[in-house]
Amino acid sequence: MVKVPSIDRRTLLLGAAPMATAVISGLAGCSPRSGDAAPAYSPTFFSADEWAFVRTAVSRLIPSEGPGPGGIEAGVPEFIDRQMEMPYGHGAYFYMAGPFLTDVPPTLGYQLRYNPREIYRLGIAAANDEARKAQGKTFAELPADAQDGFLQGMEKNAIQFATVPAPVFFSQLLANTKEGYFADPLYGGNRGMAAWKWIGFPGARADFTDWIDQAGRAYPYGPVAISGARG
Amino acid sequence: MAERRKRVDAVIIGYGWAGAIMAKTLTDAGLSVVALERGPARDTSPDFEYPRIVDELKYGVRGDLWQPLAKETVTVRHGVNDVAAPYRKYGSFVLGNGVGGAGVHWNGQLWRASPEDLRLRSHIEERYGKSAIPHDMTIQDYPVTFEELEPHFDHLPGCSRGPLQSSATKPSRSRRRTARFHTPTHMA
Repeated sequence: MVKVPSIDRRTLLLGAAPMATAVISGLAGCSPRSGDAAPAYSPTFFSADEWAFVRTAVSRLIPSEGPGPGGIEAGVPEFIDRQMEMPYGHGAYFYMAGPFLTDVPPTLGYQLRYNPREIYRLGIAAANDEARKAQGKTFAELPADAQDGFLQGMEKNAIQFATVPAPVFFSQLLANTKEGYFADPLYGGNRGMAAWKWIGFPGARADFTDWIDQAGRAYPYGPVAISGARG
Repeated sequence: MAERRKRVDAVIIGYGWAGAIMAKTLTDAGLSVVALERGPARDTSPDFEYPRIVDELKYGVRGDLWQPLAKETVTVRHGVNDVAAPYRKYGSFVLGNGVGGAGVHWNGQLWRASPEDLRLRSHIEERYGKSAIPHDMTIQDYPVTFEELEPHFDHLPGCSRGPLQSSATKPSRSRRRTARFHTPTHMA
């Protein structure tokens, strides 16, 4: 596990996607979520238990403490729930027919039969089973430090799931969390373009020809969403 | 039932960058041309209209302009004795789909081949000796020379409009560049 205590986790999340290992390290001392000002959202796909897992995991991957908006405030759980109801959640973007080969090198990519909905459903159930077995509580009920350790264990396959492999579930969760944080607000996440504002991303602008020859000059415009809303 | 269509002079299979340039060349010469392309027909408007087209999740991540792998995919294996596995999720390469499916997100840079690139086997052998290339390495010279291709390298920037001109062809490393570029090209 990479320990980079001098750099906050979101900085790592933004700057180095492959360093997902580091993203969830160094969490000691973080307090649980509080003061979630987001409008109430009732999940369509996730059950109450699953929703608790998703919200808690997102709050550990992109916590509310520190600079920038947290994943909860940005609406990431809502984004994930809505994606599960989209063709994406049902696997419409992936070749999902057999044969499902089990003994192929990882360089040949994803070879499981599960679509994203199934990965979450099976993954959350397995995670809560494992958490109960090892620590007598569901993932969401664990102290924050233990949640971080659990996520790290999933990522590194140190916690074994009988159904969907824990690292597959973890990478699905992390990928969708990042998507929900940075995608256009149209999809339910990145609420108020908060993630874009924080990193200085101008959003759905597509023409920068006036700025090409102005090296070093700060781009003056705030973000704009596909809807036309300005941040 | 088979659809019988009017006879044309030329049929182009695959209406990507290469097919489109061929279609333009042939129609400019007065031929009637049909281009075949899998997936939807698309046009600049409304399909690539701002701001919908700058939706990164939809196009850059999910890949709505790519060939839907759910419908059709390829299999991949590393060696002839391996079992080939389906390419289930986009990873190391993406396949375009429909008119503009690859062209609109294509961000390649067309460096002109150098004279040496086109006769690489001969070049290596002349420079380092015949033993420099292992006998099982199948590297070959191209059957065309730089001199034969150079007029065509020069032709491409004239086929396109807009920003493509500055990025679609790079100056040759051979210093034998003959054509002027339509927009300034930054030399390294």
